[in-house]
Amino acid sequence: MSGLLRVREAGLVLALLVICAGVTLREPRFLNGANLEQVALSATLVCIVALGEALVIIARQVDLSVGAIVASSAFVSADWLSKHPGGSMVFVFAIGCTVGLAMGAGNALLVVAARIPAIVATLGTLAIYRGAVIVFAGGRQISATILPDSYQAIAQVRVLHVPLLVWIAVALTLVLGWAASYTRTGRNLYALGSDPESARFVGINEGWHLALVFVLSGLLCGFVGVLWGARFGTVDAVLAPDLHFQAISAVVVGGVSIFGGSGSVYGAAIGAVIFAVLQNGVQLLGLNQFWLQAVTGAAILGTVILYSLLARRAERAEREGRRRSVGLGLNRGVGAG
Amino acid sequence: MNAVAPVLALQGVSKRFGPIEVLTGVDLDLAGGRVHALAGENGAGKSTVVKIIAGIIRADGGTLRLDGAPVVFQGAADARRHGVAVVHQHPAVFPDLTVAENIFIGRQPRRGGRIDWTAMYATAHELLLRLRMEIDVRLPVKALGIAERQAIEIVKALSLDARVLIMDEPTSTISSREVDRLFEIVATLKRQGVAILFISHFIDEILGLGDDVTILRSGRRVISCPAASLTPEQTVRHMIGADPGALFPKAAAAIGAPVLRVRNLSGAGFVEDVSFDLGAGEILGLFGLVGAGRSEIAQMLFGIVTPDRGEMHIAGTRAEPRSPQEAMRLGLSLLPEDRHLQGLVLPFPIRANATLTVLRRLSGALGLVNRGEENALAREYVARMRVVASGIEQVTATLSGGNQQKVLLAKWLIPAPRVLILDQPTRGIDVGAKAEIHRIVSQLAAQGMAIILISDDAPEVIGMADRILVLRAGRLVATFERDAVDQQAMMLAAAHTTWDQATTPALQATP
Amino acid sequence: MGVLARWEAFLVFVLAATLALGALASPYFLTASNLSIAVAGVMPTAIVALPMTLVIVCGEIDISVGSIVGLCAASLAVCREQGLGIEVSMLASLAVGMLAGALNGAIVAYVGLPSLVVTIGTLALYRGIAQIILEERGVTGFPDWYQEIGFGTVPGTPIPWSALIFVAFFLCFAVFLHATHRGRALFAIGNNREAARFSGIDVRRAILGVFVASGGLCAVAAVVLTSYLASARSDTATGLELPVITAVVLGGVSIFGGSGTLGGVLIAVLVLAFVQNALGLAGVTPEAQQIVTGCVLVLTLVLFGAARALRTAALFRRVRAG
Repeated sequence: MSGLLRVREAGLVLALLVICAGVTLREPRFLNGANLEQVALSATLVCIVALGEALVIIARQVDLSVGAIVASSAFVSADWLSKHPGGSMVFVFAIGCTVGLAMGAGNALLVVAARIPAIVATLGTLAIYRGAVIVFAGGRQISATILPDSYQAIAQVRVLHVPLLVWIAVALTLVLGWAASYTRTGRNLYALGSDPESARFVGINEGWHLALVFVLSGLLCGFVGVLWGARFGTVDAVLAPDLHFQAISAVVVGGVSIFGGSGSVYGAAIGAVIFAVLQNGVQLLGLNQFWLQAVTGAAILGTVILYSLLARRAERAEREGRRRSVGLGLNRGVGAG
Repeated sequence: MNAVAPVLALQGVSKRFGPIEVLTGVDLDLAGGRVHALAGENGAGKSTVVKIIAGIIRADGGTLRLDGAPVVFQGAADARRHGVAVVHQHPAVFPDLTVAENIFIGRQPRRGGRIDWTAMYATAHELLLRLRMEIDVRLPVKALGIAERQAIEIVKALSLDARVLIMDEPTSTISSREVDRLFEIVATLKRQGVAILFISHFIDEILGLGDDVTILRSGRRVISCPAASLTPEQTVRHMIGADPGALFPKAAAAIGAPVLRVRNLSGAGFVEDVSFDLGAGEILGLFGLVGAGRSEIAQMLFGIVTPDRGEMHIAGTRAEPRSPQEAMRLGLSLLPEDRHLQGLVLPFPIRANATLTVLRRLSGALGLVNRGEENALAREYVARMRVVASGIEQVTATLSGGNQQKVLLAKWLIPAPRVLILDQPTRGIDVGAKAEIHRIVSQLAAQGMAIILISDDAPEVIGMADRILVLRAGRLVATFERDAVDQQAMMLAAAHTTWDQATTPALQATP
Repeated sequence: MGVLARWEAFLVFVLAATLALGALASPYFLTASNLSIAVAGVMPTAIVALPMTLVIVCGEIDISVGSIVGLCAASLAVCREQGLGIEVSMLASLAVGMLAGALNGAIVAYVGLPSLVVTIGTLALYRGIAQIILEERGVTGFPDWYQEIGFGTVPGTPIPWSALIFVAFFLCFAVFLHATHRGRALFAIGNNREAARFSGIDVRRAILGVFVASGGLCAVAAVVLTSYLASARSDTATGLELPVITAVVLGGVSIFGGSGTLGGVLIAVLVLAFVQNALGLAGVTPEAQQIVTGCVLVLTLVLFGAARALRTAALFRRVRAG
């Protein structure tokens, strides 16, 4: 809510525009409608996962199991559909979301009830969930050919010339961003991430809020799982292997502090778009595909170094501001002996 | 004691933890519009009283009466509902949230599911004005000082319509300047009829701020009386059950050749031209309020902060420590201000904390630590400091504050420094441990160690130091010799910008 | 420390149970050659777990280890392609690993950024560089003695050469962490960084040091792994950070820093090796083994938490009592 926050998001949008301009200068095809649509589509899925991850990180936790949950949801829902080709899409989403919800609840249980640090707990569930879906799949791949057309249509529907998926991502970003800033629960998450002990002391129910962010993250991953299958057509158990890194990268580049308590959901969404543009740019500019990882890594390091320099400068200015007021005090007033 | 009927009263309250009775039949009356000061050494039972009134723990015996009717609080939230609020030593605030949000966290006003920011800002502003505080309620709290954060806690209590306000050592973490602000707020609250329980270590606060005083010792009430009928000496005697004369036993010691010479030390943003000499066997008091630059000077001498300008000579040789390692090699030790944050590794056993500064010296060619030597050293110093513990392997976190401070002192004496800098060595510890530490420091000076004693506790500096330098806003503003100290003038020099040294003939100006 | 001692005793019990269950699952399990295979397979993880323990004890984390191993393998391969001798290639790869670790350490220690974020960044960066320099080529054709490092055994015994290398490093690291003043300094840093600095410990150099050690041992692991796989590729050791961190945490090292022992990590590594091997013998697929590994991690932590809660309760009773 502070000015700094808004400045940070404006800076992110500016950075995004600069990258887009740079890519366009070298390769005007970037602004081509079809290309922009590809960028938007590849941003959406990571973006939705990053929204949940942002809330988790704002609450000073982390969820490494997101990729495994997305894969589980995608495979289980597609598997059901392949066996019930006439099944309702609502039901497919219900299955995917239930899988995500259950896995998110599993994380919540370990973090809240068993009090295991989130990074370790979700490291464990990452292995468990991924292993479970691989065993469930037994090496099978569910390809587009055996899935009904209505499934893939989800990814092709357009509203006002823009793919439905993009609208969904935008809507979720706005809703969750609003909730984080304007609801009591949202502000409580910031309080918890900022200082968990104090938050407990003022009566914020820590367990309930942490459970909420993990379940919500799981639910969003479950939802994305279904969209993933619809977008890519073919589903197997090893899809989205690096999604946790992509989501955390988007969140961190989006300005959310890894120590919790500051940053915004909008920033994370912009972060996801920045990575999608970078990826597309590397392809368009004819750079070797192998450059993508290196560019991603350099982008993460560059932004976090920049943020820390900015934060340090703000802190210094603040300290000096306070120094000036030193020495204007009065005597202690009460009998000094 | 006073004619007004108490808002809240403890009657014969007892509490035991396991076999230990920590409170025995304690009576306490809190009346509206009065400040009741609660005093006692660490372990006297003050915090148990606070926890019982705040509903955090329940008494085993006796009754708690609110407006004359017995009540039992079912937890902290229940106590809050009954109008009892607590302001803690370390205010619970969220640095990234705004002032208004901090006041209303968890119960923000809402309109149609969303937080009503306009109403929240307006109410917060109004509440702060009631305390005559001008703080921008839209500011994130990380931009505020600790006293302002405490004010936010108080406002939070007010917004809950608290009738009983407990202030648990609110002044031990803030500067004197901020204390004044706090006391103004307390005065305003008194006028508004709030019953206040004020817990403090500082005798002058207990007597100056309290209308009534209750002193606890070993879980029993020693005395309850109007503050006006107690002298500081009587108060201390009631607290420790002994003569306060034993508190500051600095013995006369011959002051030898200068060991440390500091000239025009400037840096850390605002310390300007600090110069002084320190002789062997001398205790030099550095008196000043928080923010005066005391700790900054200590940290510049010890190589933690690099000074912008200035010279430092140790035993005649120019020294420019750029890290604590180098400062230690030059024969300096710094007992830092914050015992928990800068001083001790709390999960370590006493032994590992005590020897952390000399571990390299206790190690052989491959860096292997000689455990036999380490144990012997730790044992020797634990005995010398009279640390009360089950042995050198007891985990430091489980010691009392006073004993932790003794371990910290051992840690900085083991390197056998030529110059020992003590930054607030007795802050927040009980009177008994304080006396022990003063005894040890005095002995060290008698053995010829050069000591800088930094403190904002005036009686401590006056009792211990051979010479007192007063700091204000990063500059030395006055010097007092041991036999010419005037506490009133010293306080004024440290705290008052309009103080004019010409009006106080007992002083001499610093060069 | 007391609870950790009990923790290691518990791990020994788990190890014994694993061996017993393995013996029940297959008569082949307890043979020397099988145990040798089980141990050889886990050595790259075990080698990287040594510096990871130091990093985590300091209160930091290094997510980029898998990528550093990949980068070292790729450097080794490129040197071989350039016709350099295997010894020179190994030295070059060691230098690359230490340099990569030094970059991590410098950013964490001297720029002051959180290591989790920094090493997520370098995880991508180092893997990317590995892919850029080696692309999709695989380099083989190592000398016979090199092939022996990963798979061969000391003649006349079932002891893998890689295990010998591990034991040598394990002894060095264990002595360093638990018996030297520098090791004690790491615990001090992990518990209270500020107090460590005030005590004259060069915190930044120590953190730089553990990250350089991490990079260096990643290079050693790269040699063992390329030898084990008989091929050096840019995707070598993808995802290695997960089993390494699992082993360290399972070994009783606090993820928040400041406590843990290398003995615990050693037992944890063996538990993981034998669990996986026994499951493999019982016909469980590697993917399902992953579930079991995850379950072992989560379950032991739940038990650890319960034990700690009991201990804390007991401690409070004691403190109150006297």
